[in-house]
Amino acid sequence: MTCWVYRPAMGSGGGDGVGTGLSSSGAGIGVRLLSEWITAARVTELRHAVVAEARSAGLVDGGLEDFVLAVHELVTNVVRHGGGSGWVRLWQHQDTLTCEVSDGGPGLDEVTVALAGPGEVGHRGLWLAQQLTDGLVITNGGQGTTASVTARIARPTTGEGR
Amino acid sequence: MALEETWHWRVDVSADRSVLTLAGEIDMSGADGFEHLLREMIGQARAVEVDMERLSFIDSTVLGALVAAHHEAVDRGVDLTVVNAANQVRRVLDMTGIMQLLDGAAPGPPVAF
Repeated sequence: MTCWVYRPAMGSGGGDGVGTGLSSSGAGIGVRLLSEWITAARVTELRHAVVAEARSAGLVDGGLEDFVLAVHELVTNVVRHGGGSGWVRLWQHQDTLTCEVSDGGPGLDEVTVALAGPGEVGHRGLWLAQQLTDGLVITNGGQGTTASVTARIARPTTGEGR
Repeated sequence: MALEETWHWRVDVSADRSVLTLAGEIDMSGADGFEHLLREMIGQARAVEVDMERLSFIDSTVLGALVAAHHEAVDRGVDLTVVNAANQVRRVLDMTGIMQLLDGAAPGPPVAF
């Protein structure tokens, strides 16, 4: 099994280790908000569903847009490079939103998460997913690839969590 | 299964340039159509302006389409520019460096003769 962990390179994120756990599946921790099957025809609909759930969970404005694009890029990867279908799951644990996208595709021999030059036509999806979230973890277990991203929800004041 | 149409476009053609006005969200389901449209316009005009004011979402496949269209425009000596990109669209264009390819350093006023 191979696991790649990418943390934000820019100062915008928390950078405090969120999303670096190697137990790739945080599934089961926290509240499940969404669990849907990915197909090419559902990409837009799934993005809108993630917008609705992440907004309800408390993400707003640029933070919401960034997380949604990151998830969308992982979903798009499944359709284009990961065998065409898979699962997208979203859950919340306290003030952290995690989205895990998995497929049963052939897997990746190599994962490059670097910014493509402005003149290069492709290869920006994973870079965007990493830049726009608090962490990107990619796990390749031989039976497909799982990628997850996390975002922190900034709460003014609530009675729960801390 | 019918795909939901998430974006709309309009083309305004004048003597010196064509303007493509976009609205909505473009993702991988629309990126090929968007690139095809851009290439067609590039083949028929000396300058192509893409107005993104009412566009609220683009992804990496749209960025790829824009870069491919940029290369086509350069090859043909056509001026391809993006104007009025805002919010998520602007941020993604900026952070990937693609806005710099398409901001037409000196857009210039309409040509008069």
